[in-house]
Amino acid sequence: MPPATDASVLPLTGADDATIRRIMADEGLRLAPGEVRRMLELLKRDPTRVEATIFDTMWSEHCSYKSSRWALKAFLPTESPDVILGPGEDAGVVRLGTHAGVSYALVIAHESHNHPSQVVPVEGAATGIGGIVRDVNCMGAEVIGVLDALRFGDPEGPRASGVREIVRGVVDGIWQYGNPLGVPNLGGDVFFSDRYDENCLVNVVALGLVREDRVVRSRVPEAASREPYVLVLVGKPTDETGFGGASFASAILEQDAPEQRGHVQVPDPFLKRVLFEANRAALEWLFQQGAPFGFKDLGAGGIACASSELAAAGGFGMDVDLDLVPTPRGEYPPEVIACSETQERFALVVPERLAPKLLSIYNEDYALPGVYDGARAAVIGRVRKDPSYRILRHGQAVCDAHVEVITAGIEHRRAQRPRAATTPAAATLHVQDHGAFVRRLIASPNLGSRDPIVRYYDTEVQARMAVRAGEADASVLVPVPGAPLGAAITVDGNPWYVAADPYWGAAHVVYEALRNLVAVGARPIALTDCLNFGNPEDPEVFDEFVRAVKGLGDAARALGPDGATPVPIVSGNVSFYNESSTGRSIEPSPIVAALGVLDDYSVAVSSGLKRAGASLWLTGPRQPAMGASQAQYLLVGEKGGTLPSLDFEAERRRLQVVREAIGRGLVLACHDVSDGGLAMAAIEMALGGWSAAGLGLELRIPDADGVPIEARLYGETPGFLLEVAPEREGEVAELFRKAGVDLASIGSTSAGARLRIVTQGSTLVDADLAELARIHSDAIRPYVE
Amino acid sequence: MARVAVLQIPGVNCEYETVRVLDAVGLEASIVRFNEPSSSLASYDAFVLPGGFAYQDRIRAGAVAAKLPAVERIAQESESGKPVLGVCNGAQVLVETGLVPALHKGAVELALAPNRAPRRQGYLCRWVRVRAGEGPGAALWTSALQGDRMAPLPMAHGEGRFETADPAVRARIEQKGLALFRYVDADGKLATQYPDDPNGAMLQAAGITNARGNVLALMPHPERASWLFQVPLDSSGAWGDRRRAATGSRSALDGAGPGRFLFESLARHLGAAKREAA
Amino acid sequence: MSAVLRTRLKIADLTAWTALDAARKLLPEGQGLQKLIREDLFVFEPAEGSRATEFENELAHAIESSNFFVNPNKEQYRFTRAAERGASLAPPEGAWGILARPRGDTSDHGWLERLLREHPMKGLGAIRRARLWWLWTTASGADDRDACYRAVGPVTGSRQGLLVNPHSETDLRIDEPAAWDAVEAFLRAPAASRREAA
Repeated sequence: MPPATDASVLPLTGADDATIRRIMADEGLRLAPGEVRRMLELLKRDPTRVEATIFDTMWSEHCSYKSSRWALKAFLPTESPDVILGPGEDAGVVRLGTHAGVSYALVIAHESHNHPSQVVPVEGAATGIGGIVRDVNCMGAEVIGVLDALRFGDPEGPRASGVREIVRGVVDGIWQYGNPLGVPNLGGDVFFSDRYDENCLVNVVALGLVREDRVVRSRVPEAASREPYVLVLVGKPTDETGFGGASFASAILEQDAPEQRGHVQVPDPFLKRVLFEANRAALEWLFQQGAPFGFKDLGAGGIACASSELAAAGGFGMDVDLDLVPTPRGEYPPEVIACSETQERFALVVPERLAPKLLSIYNEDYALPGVYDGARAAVIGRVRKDPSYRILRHGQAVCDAHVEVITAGIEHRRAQRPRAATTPAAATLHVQDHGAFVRRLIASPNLGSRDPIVRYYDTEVQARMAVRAGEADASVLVPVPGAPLGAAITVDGNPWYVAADPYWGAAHVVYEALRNLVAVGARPIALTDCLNFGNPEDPEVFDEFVRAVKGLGDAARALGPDGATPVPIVSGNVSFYNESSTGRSIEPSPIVAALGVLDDYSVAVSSGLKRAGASLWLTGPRQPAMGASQAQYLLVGEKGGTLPSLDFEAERRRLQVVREAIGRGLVLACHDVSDGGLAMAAIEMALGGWSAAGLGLELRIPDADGVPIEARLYGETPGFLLEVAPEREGEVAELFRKAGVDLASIGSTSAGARLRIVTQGSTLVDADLAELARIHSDAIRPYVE
Repeated sequence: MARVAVLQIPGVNCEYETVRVLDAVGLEASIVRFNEPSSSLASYDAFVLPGGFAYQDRIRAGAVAAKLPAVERIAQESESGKPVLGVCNGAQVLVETGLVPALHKGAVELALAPNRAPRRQGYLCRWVRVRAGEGPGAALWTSALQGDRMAPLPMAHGEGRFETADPAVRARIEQKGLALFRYVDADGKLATQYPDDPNGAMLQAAGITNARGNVLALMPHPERASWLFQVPLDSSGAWGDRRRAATGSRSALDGAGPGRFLFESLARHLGAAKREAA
Repeated sequence: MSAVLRTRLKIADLTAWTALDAARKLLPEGQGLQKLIREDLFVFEPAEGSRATEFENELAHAIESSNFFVNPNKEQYRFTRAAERGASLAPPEGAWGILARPRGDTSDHGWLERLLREHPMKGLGAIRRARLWWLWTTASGADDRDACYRAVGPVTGSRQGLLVNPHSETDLRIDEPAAWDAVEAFLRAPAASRREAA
């Protein structure tokens, strides 16, 4: 039924492109003429302003994946025996294990909040955390951790001042949200590169714990065909903050445009904490009632998107009455109430007979109106058995369409064109003074200690932490108190690798994430991805995107446990348009989080050296290729070049045997070799051992096998460095031999608090670890404190 | 079994792990919402104000929560000697109510001010070391603490600097031994520098009791260090050695951590108290 | 003579909302509080021998163009140059105020360093920070304001005081326009010790 004629209908039918663009601009919307015509086709009439706003949001790149969906579907593996729920809902759900007769699952979600963080870094990063934890909580899970992958510009370059302000703002935003919320920070990944000068990246990951039999779906349940169900909105009163957020996230950033600031949402971790507790009680009560229900968080597109998706996913329709939506004082236009992205709100669909008690849990037991002005739970709509989706304001329909029209997707086939390959002239990388170079490495922004950042994050709240990121390659938690089960998680994504070779670079990203899990002894069970790229309408950017997705997918398939089962990608996000108004695009930046499980958390090891007189072993023979390495950049200022090659099957076996060695207790410490190469891995292990017990090490590099010393020390060929007690050496060697995986003796640990790197001919480095610790620890401090 | 109420004020976030460790030492712990009838609090034998951000630290950390009827009730209950533990934000609430140091009944004599450290402001989360003294609170809160009376514990706060404007208050806290826990360095000496002293607190105080000793305002988090697996693998000292040696042994890692003594001492005290009352 | 920046939230100020609610419960019989507003005050003090005019333009630009002091997403502000600020800090119409500052040094050295690194300017000696609470009591007599101040000002007991903890902060009543020189002197002075009843 077409809504009553009124002035808020947009006269788009039959309009030419120029007129369409003008009307869109006037309305603050970003639908392209082709998209507008598609909308008209679906609606079979002109849209109301509310309807146009809904389409504008739902069809933004951020929400619709219109450019990327086909590639994700074609190339990424999403299934394995561990997966309970793959991509499609707000978060992925994977099996953790059983304890005391209860089966548990882990919930993981991954999102980006890039544009808002560039414009208002504190709120942008804070609402990024706020949004991702909601995605996990609305699956019925307790949120047990967050991670952040951050990409910043050059803190010493021409835009240093702006970059540093963003660094500080983003770090502040993350801790100011996560700490009061009571969710520990489980790690992160910070990378500096000048291509992020005007487009920082803030990717966030949230991890949750849920009983398998308590996973909640984001859809109207089938029971709604047998009794009346209502839509309950909970949380902050709806206002205009964040109106237009999703389509803002999908557009190129204008330099310094002040009106962009209004698009950033206002975070409130205190209210979120209260809501989490109230949600816990409400869900517990709903489960006790035995009545099916649906639960969804409000993110992009606000009430309209959440309610229409809840309805469509269940095969129902819905009526939403904006007059019943709690708002602050004042009159708000219907499109604002329906579509703004006011934070800290959830929606539930429950049987009508349960609504009064449900509301009292929120409004009385947890006192929402008393702790936050205007916050409350309220019934704002009802489920319809027919597929009609209507939004009413003052008794009139301001949106009235078939629910599948409103939630119809859209796709665009973008053109692809490979970038002309520019292999830089093979630079001669020569290090004259390794002692000095090593000091440069550890002082550089990409290799320096992240401790100055981490000290702002509460890593200890919830008291589940067994191994911390920083002291190891991944965090290990004990999610179920009293159970032996461990969960490990990490996030990675070297952009220079992907820029050098989108396919192999992305494969390297997946492999690094898996190495980080294996290095603590965990079995990888799932991946998530956030694909941060430039303008998809640029064929070269889109080509990079497709190649990267292929690389991710192939690596995820090939590096799984047995070569047949992939490590599935269970959740993810695509962020396009990370480009400035001058057309400067970020490096292609797929960022991957990897989730692993330990059947017995006690086997988990960290990377710091544990014992004097132990031996050091390297698996992963050094290749001469130094493309995209940190050392190459420091020596000759070049980011590109030839990446180390990957033989998937060989690396898969390497992952398996390292994990087995750790699982059998044969390894004292383990570190993956990545940024900064073997030397950096050794330094980090030594710094850990030195601060814990005054230990040091000596790396003994065997004589030349055709690979220059620079590549052997600083090349980033993937691998692992293991510390093994003398009495276990034989077993370790035998294990690797049987698995057909290389293992080379590379040095030993000492009680001497020194770092030594020697070849058969000479001593390349002989440094005091206390001095190295100071340099490493202060590297990025001026940007943070 | 002695019963302990863990008060859930809007915004606190450490209540669940607090309950876990109280249960682990044989106490019956319950989360009690701030707006349940405060008369119900009378049936508990001890109280914990857990960490977090009660009322979002509006106005000042602990300032608003200090005015709650539930907190007032706990104050009344403490007058009969019932133990009250405030951890981090809970400590801030106790200071804002005057329950600590309570040199004069009903007076507020301390503040927990923003951390002060050279060149490093704001929130800080790191493991520190505390040593227990022998003041009036020692029996109740540290009877289970062995050996050198030191423990590594994690702190996580932005306003942890005990301060008073009244020199007489400071002097009396020192003389009476009310600064039950103080920050020390790796050698066990009073911390003189950041980060061993993370916030510049007067008397390097990490925890202060009232004169009677039954109310303790403690800034570091013992509930986050009650199991051995929680000790960071990179820690130096005896607990770090123990943690590293325990890799591969679940029974060891599931055993007691450096913060457990506080709750065990409380349990012993309550067990003894219950036996006396019987 | 310093330049001055005052900021307050333009989105809902939940601190003021809660403070109003909590304050009302502490007021004696017959006393009411109509409104409460919270402001942050930044005083930009010239260095010894310098004048505010040396840095005011750059500072105004820094405030406007970056999020360093003001988050335009949620705050409104008023920046006043030294020459324009008038003789005194006056309460808004119908209100009286409490100016609260930390007992320690009000000058934020770390912040000054960061500001100068990102927005170099000459002659700025210190940035001092304080908080302003403006109260509108229903009764307006001097005795009523005193009673209100005792009830909701400095915390002396669990039911006495709210907005200021005198062990970490010190405060100044602003009942009438207060000379800026006096305000600046208050912000600079070392805080006195307190002696409670023995």
